[in-house]
Amino acid sequence: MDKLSIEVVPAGEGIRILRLEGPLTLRGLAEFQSIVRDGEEPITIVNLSKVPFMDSAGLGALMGMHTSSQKLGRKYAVVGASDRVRVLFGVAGIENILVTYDTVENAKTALTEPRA
Amino acid sequence: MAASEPAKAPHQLSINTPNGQTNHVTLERDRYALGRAATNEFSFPEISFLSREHLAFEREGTNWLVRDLASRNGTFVNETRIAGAQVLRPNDVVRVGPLRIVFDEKTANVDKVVFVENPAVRIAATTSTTLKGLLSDEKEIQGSGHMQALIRAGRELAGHMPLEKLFDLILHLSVEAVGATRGALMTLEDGELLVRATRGYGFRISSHVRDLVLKERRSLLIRDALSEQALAGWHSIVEQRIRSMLAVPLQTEDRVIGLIYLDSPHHIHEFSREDLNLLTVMSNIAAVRIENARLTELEQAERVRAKELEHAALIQHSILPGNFPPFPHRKDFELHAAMIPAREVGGDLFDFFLLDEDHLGFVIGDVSGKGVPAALFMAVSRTLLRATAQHHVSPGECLSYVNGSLVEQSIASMFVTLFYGVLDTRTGEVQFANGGHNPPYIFSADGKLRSLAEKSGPMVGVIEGIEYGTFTTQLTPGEGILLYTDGVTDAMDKSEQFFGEERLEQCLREHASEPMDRLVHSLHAALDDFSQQAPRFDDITVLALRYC
Repeated sequence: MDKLSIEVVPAGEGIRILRLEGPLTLRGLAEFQSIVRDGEEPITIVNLSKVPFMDSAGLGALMGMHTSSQKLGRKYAVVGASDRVRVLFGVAGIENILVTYDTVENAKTALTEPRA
Repeated sequence: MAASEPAKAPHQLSINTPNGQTNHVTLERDRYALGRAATNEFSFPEISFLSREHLAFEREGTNWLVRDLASRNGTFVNETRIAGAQVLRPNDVVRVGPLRIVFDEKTANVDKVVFVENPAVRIAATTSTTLKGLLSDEKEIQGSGHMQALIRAGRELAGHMPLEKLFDLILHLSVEAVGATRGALMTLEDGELLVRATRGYGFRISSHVRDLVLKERRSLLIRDALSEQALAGWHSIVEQRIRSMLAVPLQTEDRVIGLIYLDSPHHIHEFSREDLNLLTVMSNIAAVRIENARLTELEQAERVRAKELEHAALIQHSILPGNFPPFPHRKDFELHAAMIPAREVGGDLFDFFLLDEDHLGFVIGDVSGKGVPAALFMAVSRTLLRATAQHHVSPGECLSYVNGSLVEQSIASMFVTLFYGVLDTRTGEVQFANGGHNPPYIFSADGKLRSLAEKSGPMVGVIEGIEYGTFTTQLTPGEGILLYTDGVTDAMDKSEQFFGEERLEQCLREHASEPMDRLVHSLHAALDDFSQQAPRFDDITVLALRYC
């Protein structure tokens, strides 16, 4: 199976985008977690548009990001999830828990908007 | 191990000259003097700041000192003028006029060896040999000194040691065998040369030499190789003078795995043809030894892994119920379950237990991750759920409690998906809660299916304070419920197609009338048929329960 590669793209204004390519599974877990952990930026956008599928460990990594963001007062968004990955979010019951947007631009706008 | 084992990291000086070059010197003697006079080890006649004999670096026990030799302009350590001598610590900077000398500079090692494209290597002046040529003429290895070096190498390389230590020892033996001043051992990893051990610094090796060694397996003895280089640069100090060099392949029977490069200032020691022959044979012994050491390390890692998987499988098996049929005296329901572990052991779990005479609890779950951590998490989840269920709480309350306990233990990013149902064996009513697990199927003997799609909440063990709801469904006699983990639907064939829900439903329809054990086996057989020899990434678990 293909390997996961992660490209970190600074997107200005305290935002970084993690561009994932390949399946997010147990194999790529450690790298993903350490990149998420090491970020200084208050906003992280995870682009999954090139992630064909993920396993339970990958889901766990996203949930780990969700809970640590809450603890640290940071923001994150998951964008570009494929249908297959969306179904997985649904089955796992986290489709309304994970912060998801269709596109990077939508996520950026929503996350940088001052709170009402 | 013999006494001649290399000492741990030898001390070094990094000398920054006024023209911007840095020369690295490994401190191997007991004293190095520096000054304008040509008699100094480091001689800089051009620098008028210096006295004829300005300062000396001296070994004192395990320490190194810098001693000012009553110079006119003084010697500065970390910008403070010293009187007499001072002990040096790593990264101390000794300054004398335009010269800056750093003791044991802590820098990355990446630039220790540089390959240069257009050096003044006069290949005409080289002597070259190959291992093959040497082995066909045994007379080539002559002289008692060389024989002893070989015997010593054979003896010292025989012991077991980690690879890094082995690289160091091989280089040490090579340097000593031919009396070289400096050396580097490099290995080929994915087509790239990696520096594994060095004595000395600042190697500039011709890429042409490298290619001859690696591609043509030639052993090279080169004279005057860097003469033009030396003239172009700052040539006052010993390090930059004309060199005599040896470069030989590290080769096993069928391939080249790296190279050893040694050199020496020409005027101190010029290598001979015999040195070249000796080093060629030695490097062959060394290469075989490296290959063996690598295999040993790989085997060890593989053994550790296998042991760990064994542990994980053991945990899993000791936790999951194993005796079927589990309740042979009961005629009001029929139950069977089976798990086929993945090679890496996922964290699938299933369980069932009578809460009282009329209530059967049944569980399926899938822990994120693999191996021992997943197996342990699975064991904890199963025990928590079973213990909570005994208190006759509703399935939703049960998951809420298990969730709270698992979140509290907060195991980084691990979770378990859980489906927990309770069958009332008098009425066929099933109360259930689903925390992020695949929806089960209700099936009738004639092959009609429906999905139990109600969700109580997300997977269990991640988010604090979730209240999981309880749902109810009704089974009529003859209807059954099939629970499965995503190992079923995510099973792949050789072309990486998933088994998927459709094939699962098809298979369930076909075997819906069979006894539960037959149904479970048929499903596993269909999966085996589908995936053939394709690797299995996840545990495959199925639990089937029929209300009679």
